[in-house]
Amino acid sequence: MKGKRIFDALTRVRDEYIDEASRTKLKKQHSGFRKLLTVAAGLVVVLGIGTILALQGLLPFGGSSGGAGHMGGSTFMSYAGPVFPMSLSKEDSDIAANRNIVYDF
Amino acid sequence: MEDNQIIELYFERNEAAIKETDMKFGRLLHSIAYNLLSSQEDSEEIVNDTYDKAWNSIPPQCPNSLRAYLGRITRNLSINRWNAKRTQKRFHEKELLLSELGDCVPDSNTVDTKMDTMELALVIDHWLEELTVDDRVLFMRRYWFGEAVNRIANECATTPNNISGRLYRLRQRLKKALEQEELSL
Repeated sequence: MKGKRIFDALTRVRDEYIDEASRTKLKKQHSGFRKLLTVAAGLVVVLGIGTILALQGLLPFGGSSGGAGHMGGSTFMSYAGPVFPMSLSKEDSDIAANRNIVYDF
Repeated sequence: MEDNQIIELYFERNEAAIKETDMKFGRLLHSIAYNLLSSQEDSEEIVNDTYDKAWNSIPPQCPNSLRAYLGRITRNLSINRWNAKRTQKRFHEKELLLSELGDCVPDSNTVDTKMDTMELALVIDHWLEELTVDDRVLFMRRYWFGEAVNRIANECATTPNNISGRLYRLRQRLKKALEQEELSL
């Protein structure tokens, strides 16, 4: 039989390989199905947490509409104009103040 | 007891050497013989013959690894027993091992010189060196110790098909290594 010569020759391989094989435990293998299961479980957890956060409006992107003026609003929504009321040390009738508010959504 | 202490007992011609050898390596040697012969009775005889041979060869031999030395004797004796009984009875396990290893034989015998067993062992030795520890242990456990695929699969917590696939790929790699040596079998 063809394999017999290899089988017989194997008897003479180095001592250290025989020692190693008789003492060493083989590594446990994770099958493809188990890997897939692990990835799927991870995805479920991430999606679950994401959904809960989205429902509570706690995600940093795509926030709820109509939140202008909200304390936690982004800089885009903040007001950068003068702070009213303005006051003068002396009364001056030449100075007038106009307020023009533009809502640009 | 440490291996070198057991070897000292052999050198002192102290019969406790056999008892200590049996306590430390009996199970391993029995499994090597049983994996190849599939017979309790034959395996026990082979293990006893191994002790006999070790007693007669140490000294003058002084093995570096007693485990490998004894294992090699058991394997050789088991192969001889198998060859002697082959005409009377088929040993399924060893037949299977030989047929699997047949995959490693290069297809074309282009060179006339036949590789002798020692040369072949050196090539296999060199090939084993290049493998990862896990692959090497797997190959040796299957083809040196003759362990069943199911048992190996159990240890690796995987399926026998998975282990068979890994073994097939290893045999193909060995075949390639033998082809590169351009020596026929």
